[in-house]
Amino acid sequence: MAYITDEQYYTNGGTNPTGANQGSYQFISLRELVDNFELLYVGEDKLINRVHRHIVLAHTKRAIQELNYNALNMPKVLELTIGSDYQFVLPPDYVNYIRISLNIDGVLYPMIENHQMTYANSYLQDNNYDIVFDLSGNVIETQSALDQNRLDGLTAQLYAGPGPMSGQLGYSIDDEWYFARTIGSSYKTNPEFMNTNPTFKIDKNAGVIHFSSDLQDRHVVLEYISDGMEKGDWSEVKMHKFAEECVYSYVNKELLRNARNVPMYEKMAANKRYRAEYNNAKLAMSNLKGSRLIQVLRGKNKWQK
Amino acid sequence: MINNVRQSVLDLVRKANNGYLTPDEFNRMSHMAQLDIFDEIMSKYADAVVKRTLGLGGMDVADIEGKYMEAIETFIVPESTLTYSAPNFLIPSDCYKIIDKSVVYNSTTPVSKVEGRRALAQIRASNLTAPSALFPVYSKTQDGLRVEPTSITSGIKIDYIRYPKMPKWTYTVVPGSDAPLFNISAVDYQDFELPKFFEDDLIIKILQYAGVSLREIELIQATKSEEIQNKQEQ
Repeated sequence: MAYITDEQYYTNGGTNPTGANQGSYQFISLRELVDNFELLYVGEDKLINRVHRHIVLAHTKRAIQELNYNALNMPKVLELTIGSDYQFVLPPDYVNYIRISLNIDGVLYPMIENHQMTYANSYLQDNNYDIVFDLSGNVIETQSALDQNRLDGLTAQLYAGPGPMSGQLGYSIDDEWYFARTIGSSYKTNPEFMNTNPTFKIDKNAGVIHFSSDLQDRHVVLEYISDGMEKGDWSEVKMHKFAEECVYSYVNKELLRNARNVPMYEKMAANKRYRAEYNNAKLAMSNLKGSRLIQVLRGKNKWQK
Repeated sequence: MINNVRQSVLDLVRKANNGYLTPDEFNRMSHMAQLDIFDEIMSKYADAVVKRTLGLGGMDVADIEGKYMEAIETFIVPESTLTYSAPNFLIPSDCYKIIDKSVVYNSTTPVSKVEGRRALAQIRASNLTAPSALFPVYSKTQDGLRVEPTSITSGIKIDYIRYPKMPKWTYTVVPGSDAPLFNISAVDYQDFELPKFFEDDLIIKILQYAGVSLREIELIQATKSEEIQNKQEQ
């Protein structure tokens, strides 16, 4: 691929979107990765003598996916406003989340995942508690009480009773009072749950995030990992140049792994090389800068109050 | 070259009193001989490549692979645009073999070869390999090249090795003379397309065919032994 001029870089030659090329020099496209691999690693006098381009393409895509999951440190960020169903439908290229935060006036408040189930399927039952079927013999589903409770929600009320929590906002459920605790405010609590922000629970199969019931009309920011496949728009698929060599070594080791008549030591050497390249890529992509490290270490002798 | 070959063949046939070849017979036999040698060049080139990959290749005059490649290069037709006739792109009628990795879309996008309908179905089924305009594939069918995605209906180019053209020794008949006179200026004149160093091979091959048609067993045996000797020397 030819280099572009400065004008093309800054203005895309006046074509919309004019910023399409900005920052593009950091990356190498999927097409270039496949072309370069075929040029450098495939040939009569090379270990990989003959391989079809679509096989190289498949392994290159797998390499990009694996690096996106584990090494690239390039999260995607999406903000949505939560509606009355207290749900956030997962983005189409979502693989896993990094962090989910509540956006209040531009400040992000991280939320924790509620490990208790907050959603459930429910089958319709008659007054004898027998499951009801339709004419086709399928069960009839209905909204579960668990879902309904979450959607109904509870509003915080002022606790006026005795004890140390008097005057605090709390939740009254079945004549028992529950209070949110903030970090560091109390002993003998489970730090996993010491967060006053709302909670969420991800339903992977349904493809939604369920939130606790105090989030309607509020902005939630999802930072997540994708697989880098850009929803099948192959012209947009790219890899950072720091990880370019890692992609080649991944494809190389995968092709050799499945090849006949390749000695085991060659396969092992290819695998070793990939591990080394993977570590290099991961280190380079971790964005560890000397100046940043020094800045952090400056606080090492600080007295803690 | 064709006139030299014809003279040599006629001299050798006459010398042994083995009859006479008419220009038409000679042309037909020349075509068959040229095709035979053309096939041999291909297989010898493949052998030379294998030898080189095993570390047995040479340089300069010992570069056998280069010698055959030079002969093959004459027949390479670069960047030939294929005509679309749904659902296939038609392969030129003189195509001997499409050169590997030479099929391109819009001059720059390589089109990957898929061998077999089953493999094509598998490729379509996987998101990792599904054909797209950026990564198209083709499979060879009886009727031509089937390119996927099917939205591609133009802009396919190939490099291919063509068959040699049929040689034609053209002549004029001089009044009062039995022998036809070689006419290089005729419109349909066509010389052999093989390089000069295959002249001997052509003569031997044509003599073999002449021997067969003339039922002269000695001529066949003589040319066969000459051919074997040549191979041993190689």
